[in-house]
Amino acid sequence: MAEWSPAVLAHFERPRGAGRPDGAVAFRHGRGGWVKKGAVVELWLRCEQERVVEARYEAYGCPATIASASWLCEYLSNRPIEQARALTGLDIAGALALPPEKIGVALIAEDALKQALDGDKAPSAAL
Amino acid sequence: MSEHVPYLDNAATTPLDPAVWERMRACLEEGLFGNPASAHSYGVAAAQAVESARAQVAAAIGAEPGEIVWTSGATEANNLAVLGIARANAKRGKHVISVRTEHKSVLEACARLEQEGFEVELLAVDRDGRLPPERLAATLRPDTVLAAVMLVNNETGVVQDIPAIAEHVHAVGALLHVDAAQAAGRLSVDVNLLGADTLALSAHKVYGPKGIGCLFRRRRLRRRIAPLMWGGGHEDGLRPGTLATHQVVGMGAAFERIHACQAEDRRRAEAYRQRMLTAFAELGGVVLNGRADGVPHILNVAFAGVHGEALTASLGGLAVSQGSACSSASGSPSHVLRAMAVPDQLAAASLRLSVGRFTREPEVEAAVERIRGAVQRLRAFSPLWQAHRRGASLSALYQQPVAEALAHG
Ligand SMILES: Cc1ncc(COP(=O)(O)O)c(C=O)c1O
Repeated sequence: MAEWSPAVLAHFERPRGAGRPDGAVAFRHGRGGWVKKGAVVELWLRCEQERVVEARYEAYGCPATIASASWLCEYLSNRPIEQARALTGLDIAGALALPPEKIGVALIAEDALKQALDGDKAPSAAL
Repeated sequence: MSEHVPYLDNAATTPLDPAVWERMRACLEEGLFGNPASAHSYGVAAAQAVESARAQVAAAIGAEPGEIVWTSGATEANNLAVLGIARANAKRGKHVISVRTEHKSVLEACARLEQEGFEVELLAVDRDGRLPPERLAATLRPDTVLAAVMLVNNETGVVQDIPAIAEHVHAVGALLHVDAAQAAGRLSVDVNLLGADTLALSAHKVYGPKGIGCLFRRRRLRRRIAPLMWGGGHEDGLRPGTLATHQVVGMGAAFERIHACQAEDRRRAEAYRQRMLTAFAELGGVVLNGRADGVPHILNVAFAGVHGEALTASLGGLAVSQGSACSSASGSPSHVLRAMAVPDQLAAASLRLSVGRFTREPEVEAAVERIRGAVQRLRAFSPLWQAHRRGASLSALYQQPVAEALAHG
């Protein structure tokens, strides 16, 4: 079994921002990943005045997938949208010290982020 | 280990029964060190212990002592039967039949036969893991020399209809090998009722020691099995090497205990299985991999909506198998669940829970509690599970047909 970094374990055991928001209508939504590949991340962002004020997620995947979504939501809270836009999956992978074979799940979190920020222009993934 | 970790992995291996250990200890301590093949009194004493163990194992499966060949375990017994029968009968034909859900020690031996020029057909099973005997009948040919079908599947507990299969196999003059490693002690195993020509057993699945097993082979097959090893002609020339007397004695004692323990073992396993089935039915979205009439000590269930790796990481070291102890080392999806058309993602989120003679209720309760907690926690933020709650079928989520979840009440 994979050995996880303390950062992954901390997010996996106590995820932040887990669960779809109640009034999801006020949120921008993005999705990344595929069930058959074993990782799906859904992201909801509530933005006010060019800032992300709340970020929530749902995730299906290994501990690294869940940790990536959780880390992302923690990072995004109260962040200028400019900065959110600049974030990449590699940044997430670095922050969580993901092993090389798990970098893909951080890219899936990035896909969900891009889609939430850019709407239809981002790559989309069907369930 | 400081904290007691619930052990629900008795299909992987069982702890030694103290009564078995007592006999093995006595054997090691009390000067039974002689070589059972020696003619002097030391050898004769050891040989007597070996022969009495042979009689014990034979009695447990309705065989004659002379029909038991000691091996290092069921892996070797399966190899000896599959390779040995095919090679010794190659002049008659080179067609061999087995099943996709067999243990690797049968499948890999079959793969070896293919390299040697045999034609091996691996039959598909139904979604519930059963091989319809007619499917096997339709594959038999005049040049079929061997069919290898297990009695109880080690991952799912599914029981094959060996007596019906034996009839078909014998009708074309072929031989039937049965891997009964998971059946002994759980079902009554009688070689005559089953119609097996050869049958593999292992001691460590039945509260005996690891490293010892045997192959039952009918008396008339003496010359129809080729050995795998060459040496001093022990075990009728089928399996050379000095016997490990204490191991053999341990296997004999373990099989002798079956008679006294089987009814109670079964009653307990059935109660635990029912307890787990009820808890998982209440949880919802739990799919049985196998059949309701499988052996009670093995329960294989898939937890929809959660990821396999996230599930294992949440179980806090609970001693259960994900799919199978044998295949989880390689990280690849279980070949058994794949043969039953379980979607790979659901197969990875499956647990095999296997109880045994020394399992007690608090262990089962603790395991159920941990599994329930982990599944509920992961499902709360799983997009798959949330979509299922909103009405999406499991088949739609996994984009592949999924069997009905356990129903409650
Ligand atoms: C069905 C089955 N056959 C064969 C074996 C191999 O047995 P052994 O460990 O004695 O080699 C096992 C156990 O791993 C098994 O479950």
